[in-house]
Amino acid sequence: MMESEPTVRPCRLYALAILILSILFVLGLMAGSRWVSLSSLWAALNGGGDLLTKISVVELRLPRNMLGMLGGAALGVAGAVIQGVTRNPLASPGLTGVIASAALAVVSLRTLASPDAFWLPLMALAGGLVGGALTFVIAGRQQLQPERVVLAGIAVTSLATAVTTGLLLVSGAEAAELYYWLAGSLMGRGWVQLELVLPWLVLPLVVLFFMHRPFKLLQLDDDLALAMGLAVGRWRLTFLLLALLVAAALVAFTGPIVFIGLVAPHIAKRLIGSQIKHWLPLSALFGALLLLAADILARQLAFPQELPVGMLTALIGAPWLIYLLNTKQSPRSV
Amino acid sequence: MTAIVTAQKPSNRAVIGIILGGIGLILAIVTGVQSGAVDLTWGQIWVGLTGDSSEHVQRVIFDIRLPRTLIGLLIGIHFAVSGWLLQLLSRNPLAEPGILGISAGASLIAVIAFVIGDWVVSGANPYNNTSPVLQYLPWFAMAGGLVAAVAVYLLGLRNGQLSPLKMTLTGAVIAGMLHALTTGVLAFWGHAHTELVAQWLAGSLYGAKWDYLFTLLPWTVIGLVGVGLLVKPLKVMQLDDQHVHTLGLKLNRWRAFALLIATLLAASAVGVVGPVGFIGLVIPHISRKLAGANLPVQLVFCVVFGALLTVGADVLGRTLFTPYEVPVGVVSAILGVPFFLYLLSRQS
Repeated sequence: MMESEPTVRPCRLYALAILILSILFVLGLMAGSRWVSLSSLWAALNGGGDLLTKISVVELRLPRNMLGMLGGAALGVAGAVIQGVTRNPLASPGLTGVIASAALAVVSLRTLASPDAFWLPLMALAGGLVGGALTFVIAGRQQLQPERVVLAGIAVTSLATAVTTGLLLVSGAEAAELYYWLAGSLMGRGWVQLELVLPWLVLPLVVLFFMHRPFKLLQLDDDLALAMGLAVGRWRLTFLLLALLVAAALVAFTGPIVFIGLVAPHIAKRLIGSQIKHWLPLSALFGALLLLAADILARQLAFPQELPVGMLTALIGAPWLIYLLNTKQSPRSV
Repeated sequence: MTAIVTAQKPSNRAVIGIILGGIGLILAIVTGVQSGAVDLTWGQIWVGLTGDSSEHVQRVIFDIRLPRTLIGLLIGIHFAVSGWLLQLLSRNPLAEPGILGISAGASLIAVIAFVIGDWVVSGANPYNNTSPVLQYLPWFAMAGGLVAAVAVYLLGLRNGQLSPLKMTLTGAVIAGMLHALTTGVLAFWGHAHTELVAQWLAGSLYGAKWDYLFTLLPWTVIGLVGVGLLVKPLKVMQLDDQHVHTLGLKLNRWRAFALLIATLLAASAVGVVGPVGFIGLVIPHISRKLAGANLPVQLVFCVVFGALLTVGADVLGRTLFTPYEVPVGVVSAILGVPFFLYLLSRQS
């Protein structure tokens, strides 16, 4: 299972990732329909500068950037946890049906009632839980073979997608807005959304980082982990629940953003090899980096229009997955 | 070897199955014409069909229900036969136009064509229901479906060998990507047409008119003729690749032709009513179960039961939750997903 390639020293990786991330963050603040120079950016952040710059930087771009970073980190960690705990290199929130069913739950809530935004993460979580549980129960009988889990996830996803599309037909005037949300975008997400989603993302992430020892043990054989005194089933469930929680909460606000939860952990794993301790933090960093970069691209590529970031991540992620399926004899040995 | 290639007589069970299916289909069509927002009696239908009744009943039957039911029948045939071809071709029991990405490719190109076509003729009333691009949509859909099908087929080979699992995964990944792109295009450039296109994307027969039927019909004919030509080579293709070569069949050429016909059938149906999944998965399996190894009989089963399932699903969808309609695509997914899972659990 472990990569035999030469690995990079983790501290350099952290430094490099953080450096790129901060450059992207500044770039994200500057880029947009009105490019802001570094000096006026500084002024705006300090409360000076002209009003237009201040609003576009502080009220629009700053929260959006932060949501992108945090959301990317959440997806990266969720992907790494699901991949690690199920020992399945193809697992990710998107491919296990979690994102699609969370989206279905949100669409049904918004179609059938007009809920307060506070309830959306809870609803998404419920949907994601049902979808994820369904996938693993269906696939579970054959000891969770990677391909089988993904096929079961595909089935759950296509069912959820079909019902979502059906629901959109009765949602009437809201359909356009819901479609917009379903494309997956950070556009127009401000401080309000950030504040609502923050506790759902930060708390589980912190908890996950503190649990790196059981996480490491879960990578081993079940028997070995048991012998080292780990209640395997209980811990696995806890990890999966936390991963689902962050993924679903994010989906509730940004819409489905797929493939980041697959790609970020893969890159991290490739670079660190067997140093499992660093897998979660680096997945978080790479996830943040990917989503932030994708969002900046999405804002610029079709200027003055914006592309949904979900489109871009799908365009990057799907070829990656196909490459994975092709390079190895079997995806199990990734 | 010759025993496989020569024609077999259909078994008694198969004949009975086809007759029952045919009766079921006729019943489904009659129910389709009969039920809806206004339920008609048998007498009213008879009088309506013979052209001797009130204008109201005439309009309900001829302008709304009859075309809709007939289109349902046609697309059922399209998807079922396409799935049958794909399953034979890829030796993959999970193959289906939706799962292999053909429907998604067709949808993406059709939605793009729709949005651009609309933008080109933006002088016309954007809320006019009849889109000027309707008759071209099957063409665009076929182009998209074909590209997706070829990509999935080529990428799904493992060292040049057909690998069912890998092909299914590849197809699903490509379908997922194309689906995300379609949603993106629709969300950001669909504007005035979101509702219309959304309905199409759900695979709905709502508002199906005679135009749709006449747009689709030529492709049904071409597709079925193509399948007719394919029956014999397909029989041979069931053998090992090596045996096939010794029999002198140009394997790759026939495979390409089969893929073309399967795509053409599925994508033209997608172009007219939108992606309706899982019919192409369920029906071929049932047909194989009932018809045995006899390919022509399987084909007849696919035609009859594909039509039956689609017409039935449409009737269910529009009577279950009146006044709301559940699109055929949703009904078929709800029926088809458990079936897919059942097949998956039986795969070793």
